[in-house]
Amino acid sequence: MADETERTMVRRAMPDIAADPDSLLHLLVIEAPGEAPRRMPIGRAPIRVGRIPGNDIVLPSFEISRAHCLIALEGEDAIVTDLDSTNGCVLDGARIVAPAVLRPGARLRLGPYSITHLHGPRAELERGTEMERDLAKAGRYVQALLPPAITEGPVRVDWRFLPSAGIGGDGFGYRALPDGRFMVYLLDVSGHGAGAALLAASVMNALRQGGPAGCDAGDPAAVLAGLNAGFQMDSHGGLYFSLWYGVYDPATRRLHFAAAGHHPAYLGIVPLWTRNPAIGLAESDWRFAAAEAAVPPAARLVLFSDGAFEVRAPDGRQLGLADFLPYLSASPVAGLAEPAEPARLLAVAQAAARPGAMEDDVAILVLDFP
Amino acid sequence: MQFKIVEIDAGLCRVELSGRLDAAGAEMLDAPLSAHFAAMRRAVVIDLSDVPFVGSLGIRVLISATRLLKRHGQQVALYGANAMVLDVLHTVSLDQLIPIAADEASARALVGA
Repeated sequence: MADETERTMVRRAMPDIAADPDSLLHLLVIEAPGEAPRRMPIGRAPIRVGRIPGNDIVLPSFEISRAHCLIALEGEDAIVTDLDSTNGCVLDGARIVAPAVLRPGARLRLGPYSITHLHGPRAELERGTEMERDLAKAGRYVQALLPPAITEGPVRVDWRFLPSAGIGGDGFGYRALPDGRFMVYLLDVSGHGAGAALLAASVMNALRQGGPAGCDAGDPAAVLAGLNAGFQMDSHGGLYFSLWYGVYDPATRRLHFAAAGHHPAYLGIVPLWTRNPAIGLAESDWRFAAAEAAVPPAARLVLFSDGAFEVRAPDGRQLGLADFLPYLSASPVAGLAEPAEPARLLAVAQAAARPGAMEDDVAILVLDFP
Repeated sequence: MQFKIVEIDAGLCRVELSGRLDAAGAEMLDAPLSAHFAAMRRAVVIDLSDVPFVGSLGIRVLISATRLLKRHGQQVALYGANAMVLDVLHTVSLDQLIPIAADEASARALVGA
């Protein structure tokens, strides 16, 4: 989570426009990586965008110039003017060389940020603002359930989580079981929005409190079966979720795991996967398959959501799992001042995708077994 | 997203889906397809050859629609999915819930028609 001082700032001044709900409003939707979108109406005064305080929209990235560009109304048009910025303003895929009209729906890319221009009835655009605030709240609730990193002991865990603007329904967790074993999971609810976040939070709470009733939290197949019986799609708004669930025993260095409708986790470069339907899809008495693997000394396990690799490249090409796998490293490199592994992998995912906000949540967990 | 129901004989129908089965496509397909399947008293083979993309909500529609058929003891099978769609169906192990065939003849054999 970025420190408050590093976040995108939007000046709060309201434009001097009529409050008539039918009046037309020009609105900028500012998307920054890992933050809920912010909105700013364009009034009579031009809006200056730049890296340093004093601008109307502050985008604190080294890719943004101190005074980067100006957005102003001229008649009925919103016009963007580049203020000789170093990295320029990319409007719908092309760098502008002269002041340009922002059509309704036009997308302006500035470094890692994107600014979308909306033009429509005031009442309609304001309703959008309220819904986005509610969505951001749902997303924050899920984030509040995520456990802190673990830096000592037989299992060390670090993670990065980048929620998408629309809330993708990712969740994960881990904890030591009373018998000394260690459980970890990652889930991804189908669809986007508040409904997906609610289901993710329900499952995370169930797993935090010991798992489905009557199940041994140390038995992946039983946990999947219990969740499938309790979270049937038909009784949960048609939503279902994919899940990867593992239990590590430090005494035997063995990892029991099961995947349900989920791509593999990777132990080094070895995929750990089982064939099971996603949770909620199959009949409530479905029997789930599990498997196990030996965990060698200094091994590393990486779990990630599909948002890390199901991205569109800047050239529009749809990328998949195979494009992401070469970036997984087999084991930690001792003694090197490297960036934290989850941060490195998140940067890889962001670099592969088109600039601007990611389309889906990205969750990356890295477990080291010294 | 569109669909067409072709009656092959007294015991079998072919459902031809066309378009992206993404969030928007799934929403368009859900109610009308479910209404047809709830009243259907025939086995069904579903042709996916004109479906370029299936998302998670599309999978939900396929599952809930086929559940309606199975409730009345009717068999159902999918066929004709392209490589990318097939990959998605296998990741969620949909083939464990709905049989998936390469072509119509094999799909018909799977539903016993």
